[in-house]
Amino acid sequence: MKKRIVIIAEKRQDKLHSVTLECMEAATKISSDSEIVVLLVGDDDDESIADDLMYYHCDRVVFMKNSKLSRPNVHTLLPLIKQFIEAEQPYAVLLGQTDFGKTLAACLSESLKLPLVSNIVEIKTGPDSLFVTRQILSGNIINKVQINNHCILSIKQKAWKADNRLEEKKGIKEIQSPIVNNPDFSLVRLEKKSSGKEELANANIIAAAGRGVGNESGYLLVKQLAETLGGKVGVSRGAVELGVCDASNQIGQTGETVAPKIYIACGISGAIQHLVGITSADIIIAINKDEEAPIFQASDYGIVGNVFDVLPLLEKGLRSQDSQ
Amino acid sequence: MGMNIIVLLSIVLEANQQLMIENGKIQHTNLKESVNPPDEAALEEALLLKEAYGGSVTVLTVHHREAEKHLRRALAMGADNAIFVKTDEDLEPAVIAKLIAEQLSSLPYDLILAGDFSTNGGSGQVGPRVATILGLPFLSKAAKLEVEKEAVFITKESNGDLETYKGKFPVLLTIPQGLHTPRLPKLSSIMKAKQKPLEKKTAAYQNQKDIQTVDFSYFVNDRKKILLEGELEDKVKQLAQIIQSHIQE
Repeated sequence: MKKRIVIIAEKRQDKLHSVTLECMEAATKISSDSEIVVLLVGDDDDESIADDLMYYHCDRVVFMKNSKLSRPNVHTLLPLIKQFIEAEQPYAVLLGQTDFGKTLAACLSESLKLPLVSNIVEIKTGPDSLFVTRQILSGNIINKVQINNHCILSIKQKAWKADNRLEEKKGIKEIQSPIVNNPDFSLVRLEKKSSGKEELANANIIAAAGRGVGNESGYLLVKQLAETLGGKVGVSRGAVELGVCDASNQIGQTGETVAPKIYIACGISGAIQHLVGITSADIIIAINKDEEAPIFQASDYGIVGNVFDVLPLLEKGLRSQDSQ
Repeated sequence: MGMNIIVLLSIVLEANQQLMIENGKIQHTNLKESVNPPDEAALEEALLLKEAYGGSVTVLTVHHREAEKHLRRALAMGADNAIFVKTDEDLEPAVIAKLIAEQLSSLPYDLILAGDFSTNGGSGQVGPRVATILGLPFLSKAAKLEVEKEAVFITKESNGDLETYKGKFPVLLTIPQGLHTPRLPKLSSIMKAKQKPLEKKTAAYQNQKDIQTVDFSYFVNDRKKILLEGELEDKVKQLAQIIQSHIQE
């Protein structure tokens, strides 16, 4: 019998969160021949996301629709999703290790009495059990665990590539219209911000600023580099503490997890809390005046130098190569 | 009105220290521990709320090693009571949540605060699990709490947007690390904290059976670690070429 896997989709700023497509890829590691069911919760405005999901490797897209579900919090969703999982009886439930995913996963695990393993970076199958590895202690240590039961897994963002969109529709769509009780805490005010987190998470090129940029003009040099390369600018906690930017584009344990082709760390010392957010980058480049900075041990290429000296030259070098 | 606030403090290994693995297990001798940084931000929020609205702050810890000094420090920062449940072994978050919920069932509270994840496991499970066991409403990544008469307004970050919710106590909130820098305890408070109530307990539990650790290993860093050589202009030229060649891939 095919193993059924339920993936709980997540939205980010009215679009599908890329971690949902990463869950689809991770699901293929549990079983190459499984029935994949994607659950999307939302209101009428999310119909297009549900339609688009049918073009990925899934058998069914279940769209749970109600006008009260446009921005549901986990507490409101829990009874609905619990009921859904009880009906589907999946072998595994997959979510992303995001604020939404990790919170929902913990609540589901508690109320369904299913084991949960969080922050997973690898999945392997054994004859009667699953072997998964999770990152612990800020990413310093890998813990391999065996699960002998149906389970819930929350996957680390960017540990898997996003599933590719197919030419033809694969999944069929089912619509459910559940009754939604009024929540204990109801949304009374919404301040939307164009934070660009989804763009940062999925950028091909990221230039990131750390404490070593020193001041706002240093940060602007890094931002300029990102723009020249057609990429996005990120920051470490050090830069946020320095006060040169806010935390909306922070990368690392308390910020975004990214996986660009090229990551350029400018004035970032390389604390483990930052590194854990960039382990999936193809190439890491470090620019730092301190030769002893740990970032060089976590990089592919490094330049020992001050960002104020290096970045203007680099800018010039990149532009002259462009014109060749 | 006064608010009864409970803060869940987990004790974690400090991040920037060398960890040793022997026979697939982490060696714990001589390792430094501290309060989980997001939990410290939660404690700071609790102390600010107490200053604004009055009430009391109780800190609660479940840990398998000595934790009294961490709890005394929390008392010196301004907490009123501390409860320490000592276990014999490191436990999965599901078991820790169960032990916490057992303690809470006999305590008065309006508000429960916890960090939004711990730097040990990084899973962020304990807060939401406790809320689920107790059937409490909860919100993650809370950034602001305001009380107006009977109503509680909570603003939280949600994928970059800010959402404000209205409801009533009791509620459980998780707090992101970046919300506050925790205060430092004053010397006079450290002395006073020695007199504050700290209750030590043990509890019966069963660790989870359906998740079993196979082993622990180091994170393998297989980066090239090439430092570019030469005069600064040469190095930067090499770097520009490296960047261009990877863009074209």
